[in-house]
Amino acid sequence: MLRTPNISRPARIDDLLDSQLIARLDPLDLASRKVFAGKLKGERRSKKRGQSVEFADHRQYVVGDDLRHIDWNIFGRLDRLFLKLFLEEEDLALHVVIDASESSDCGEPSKYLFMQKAAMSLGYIGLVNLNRVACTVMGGAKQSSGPQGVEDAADQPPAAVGAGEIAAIRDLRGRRRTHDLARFICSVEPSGPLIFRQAAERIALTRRGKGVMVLFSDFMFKDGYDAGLRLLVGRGYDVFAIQVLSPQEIDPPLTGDLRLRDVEDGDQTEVTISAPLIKKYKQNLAAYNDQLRDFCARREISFLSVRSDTPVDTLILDYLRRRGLVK
Amino acid sequence: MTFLTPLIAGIAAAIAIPSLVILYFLKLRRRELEVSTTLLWKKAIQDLQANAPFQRLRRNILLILQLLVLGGALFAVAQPELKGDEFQNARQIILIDRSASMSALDGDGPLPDSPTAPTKTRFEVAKEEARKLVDSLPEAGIFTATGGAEAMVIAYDVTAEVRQQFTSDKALLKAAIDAIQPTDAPTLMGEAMRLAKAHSPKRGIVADPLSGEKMSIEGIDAGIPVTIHIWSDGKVADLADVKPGLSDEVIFHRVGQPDSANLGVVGLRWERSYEDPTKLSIFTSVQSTFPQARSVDIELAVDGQVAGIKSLELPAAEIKVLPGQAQPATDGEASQPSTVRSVTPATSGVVFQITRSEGAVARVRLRASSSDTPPPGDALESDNVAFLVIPPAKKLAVAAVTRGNHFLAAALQGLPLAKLDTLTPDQYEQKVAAKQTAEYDVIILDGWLPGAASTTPSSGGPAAGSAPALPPGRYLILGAVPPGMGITETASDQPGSGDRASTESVFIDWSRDHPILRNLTLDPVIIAESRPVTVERGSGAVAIAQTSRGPGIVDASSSDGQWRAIVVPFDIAKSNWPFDVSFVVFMASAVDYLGGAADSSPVSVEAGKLPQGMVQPGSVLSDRLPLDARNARITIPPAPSRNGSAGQESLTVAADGRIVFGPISHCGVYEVEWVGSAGPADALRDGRSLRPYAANLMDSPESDVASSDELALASKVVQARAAGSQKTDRKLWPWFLLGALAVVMLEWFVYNRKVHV
Repeated sequence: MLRTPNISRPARIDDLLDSQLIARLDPLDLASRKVFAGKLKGERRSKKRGQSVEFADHRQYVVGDDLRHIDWNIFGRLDRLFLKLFLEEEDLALHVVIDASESSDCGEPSKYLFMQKAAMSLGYIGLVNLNRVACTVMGGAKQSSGPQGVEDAADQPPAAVGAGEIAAIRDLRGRRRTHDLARFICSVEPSGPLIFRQAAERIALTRRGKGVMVLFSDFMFKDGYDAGLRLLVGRGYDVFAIQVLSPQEIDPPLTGDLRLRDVEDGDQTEVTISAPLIKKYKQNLAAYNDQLRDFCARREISFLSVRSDTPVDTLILDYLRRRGLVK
Repeated sequence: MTFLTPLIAGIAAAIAIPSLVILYFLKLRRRELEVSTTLLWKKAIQDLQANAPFQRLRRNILLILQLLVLGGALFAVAQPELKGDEFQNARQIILIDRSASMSALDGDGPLPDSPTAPTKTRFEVAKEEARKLVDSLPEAGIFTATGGAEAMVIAYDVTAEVRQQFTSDKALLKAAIDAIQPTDAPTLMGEAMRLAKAHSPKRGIVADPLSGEKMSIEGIDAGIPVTIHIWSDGKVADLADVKPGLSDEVIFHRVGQPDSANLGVVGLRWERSYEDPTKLSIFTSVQSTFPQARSVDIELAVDGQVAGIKSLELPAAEIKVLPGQAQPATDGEASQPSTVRSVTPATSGVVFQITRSEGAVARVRLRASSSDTPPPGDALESDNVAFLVIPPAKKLAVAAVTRGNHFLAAALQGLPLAKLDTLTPDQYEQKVAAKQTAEYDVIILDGWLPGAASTTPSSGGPAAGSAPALPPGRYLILGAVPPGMGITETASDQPGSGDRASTESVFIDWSRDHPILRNLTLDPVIIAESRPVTVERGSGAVAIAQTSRGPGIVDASSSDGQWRAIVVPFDIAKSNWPFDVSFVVFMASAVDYLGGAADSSPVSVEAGKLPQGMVQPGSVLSDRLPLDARNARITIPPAPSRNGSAGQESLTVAADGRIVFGPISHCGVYEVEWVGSAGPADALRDGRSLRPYAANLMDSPESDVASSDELALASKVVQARAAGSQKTDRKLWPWFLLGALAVVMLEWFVYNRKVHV
């Protein structure tokens, strides 16, 4: 809830992924509830029939078919030409989206740091398993020394990303791109407000292909989360919405007469903390989350709410594995 | 309801209330805090406000409560009070009657039938009401040192004493009221009123009619007008002497019931038979104010032993209702014409006959017929008992100092005397030198006076200034004029000179109720050779018989009681008196009178003149002990019906043997004992001489306990104010403070409900 004091921003990959965590992440692979078409040959089953060792079906030969795929055994037995179809194995597109609005920079431990670490971990899993990994940051301010290969989606000056803007890195593949991903994640600092709907629109417009999308945010958008989420889910992505809340947001440690200022839009609210007010706040938070979870469930979005003090390996190895994102 | 300090409260309100409201108008200085989002907070606040009933009121309920607290405190500062009775004047004088009739048991209502029912005396009720009055006096405010009403407390019976000077300290006043003890004395209010006036400053303020300037004139008997509160039953003997100031307000708080009735002993005397002094008659006079005939038993106890019980029928007292003297009140408070209940008590008496030669202390007690309880319905207890000190039957020792007087010897020989010594002047002088004259009760000096001044009859130089030549004692002086007694011989007439007609005289008048001259007539007496004397005014000498040429018999006494003398200036041998029977009677009466045996003549209690051995409560016991008395002390009897215990006090004996004790507060037998020789009538106990005194109320008006409705003072008639009608001021500020405290607690509760995390 409160702005995190004296933040130490991660600068290198070691700040996001330590070796122990890497050791635990190595055996993992990404999974998707849906099977998507990939662009490149990969290690994933594809919807397409293709060249792999895995048999899928037979079909009758039609003129023009590749003679290599005729099942000669059946021709010998039945004297008819059948083609033997195999499942194509393709790569999986993983798209990690981080909310870099200023509110993410709050909480102790910082929500943004948690999101960075979680995104890096997922990205690492994707990269080592030869998946296509993309990472998008909504809002925030980008440091000048951006890594190579990073596109600026909105052709903005690189310094400021803006309320409805995004910054993205795409089409990373293979372990060696790990550092690029880390640099990108470290390069964006949270700042300013975020208009989630605009950002979601841009993501939806600019992405290619289908895949798994993991969305890290606190989902506390004043203009509502539903329009944005609807945009993201509409193009057939398997969306994971992970809500990150700081412990201070869940149980506010406040007393006295306060003027609360919203870090994003500067909106001020005067409160006199009292037991009924705190109770009401907690009720409202629970109701908000219930609503969000319900919304997600109806749109086949996997929803998960975590506290920012949850260890990243717990999130990846426990929560997400149970949800079927990693295996 | 009035406010003592509205101005201060107003100023405080003008400051405090706007301050409080401004504090509420000022915005709370809030701590600024950055949060990730205010989304949920806004919703929470909106929900909270939408859910709260009376939210507009609720927002300000703390302000309302705090205004209530402030209002309560400000009201308390204004010191509101419910006014009790208002008095005209700021200074109050509280006169509390402590006389015998105030001990009547009808203070809080008519006497109940059962004698064990708890009752209050009038005196207790008077004290309670006086305390209430003190409570109701306006107090100085919290913030002002002045402004409180002052009051003074005076207690009175026959005397009056200031128990507390003017003060506004209520604790002092109440302590003074509490300390007053009832006595058994009769009532005189004049002294109390004079005392009250004396203590209020004498200053009259007169406005000059021309300039309108106010002048203060010293000595005008106006004083600052005071309100005089009299707590009494209205039985005051000297109402006509009570003169309150013209501008003084007099409030008569009557205590007691106007129809209370009482039985009381109002007279008690004894008499020994002249022929047989051992035969003793005790006369008891009883008064009843009951409207019906009563019968009562009278018990006589001699030295503690019951010696006789006699029944006495008392007729009904005569009760008349007369129109009162009070002017009809203008405020309509007493619209019915006032009436005065006049009671003429019924009196009757009994005589007890006993045989007793030695002295005794007799006690007479009234009791109900054939039972040992006080008579039913009797309001006053202290007059149901009376005491009488009876000296032993005694005969006198008389010394006749004469050069030879046949008439004198003849007259004295017939008297029942214990000892009769006829001395020559020389023998007498020897006895004086040897200080043996005390063995004689009476010394008769016949034509001779001791000392140089007496060898020749003085030729009339005023000798009043010189010390009397006579040693202390009782003297009957015949044919001589002693110096220093206020009797001077008229210079013009020399004895033995001049013609007979110029010296001859007869008795023309004599005091017929003087004990000496009571039983005789001096009409036949012709004095051949008068010795004209004049009696000085203001000296202790009183002419009790007048001849045609001036005083014929003079009763002289010194102011300190050292000596007393009956002086017959002329030479009885030169008159025909010795041949008259009145001479023998005179000699007998004079010897008896001087010897103190006058007590054996019938005595009755008259106001201001009590026989020896009897005192009235309220007066001072004063007597002479023998000259060698020392270590004197007095035993004070326990106060009847007041649970007092007997006490002893030592007395200081003056050089001439005089003792003073008092004033006597209650009835009973007071015993003075000392080490030293006893007087002729005194008893002996444990080697000490003992002389008892009986203190009795014996006051007929005081025994009539019906309280009167009005006081007819010298200058005004005051109508009684009904007892208990007094309203006291009630201070309200503590209640306002308590209310404010309660609201503070409520406010704290509300605040906690709102804010507690």
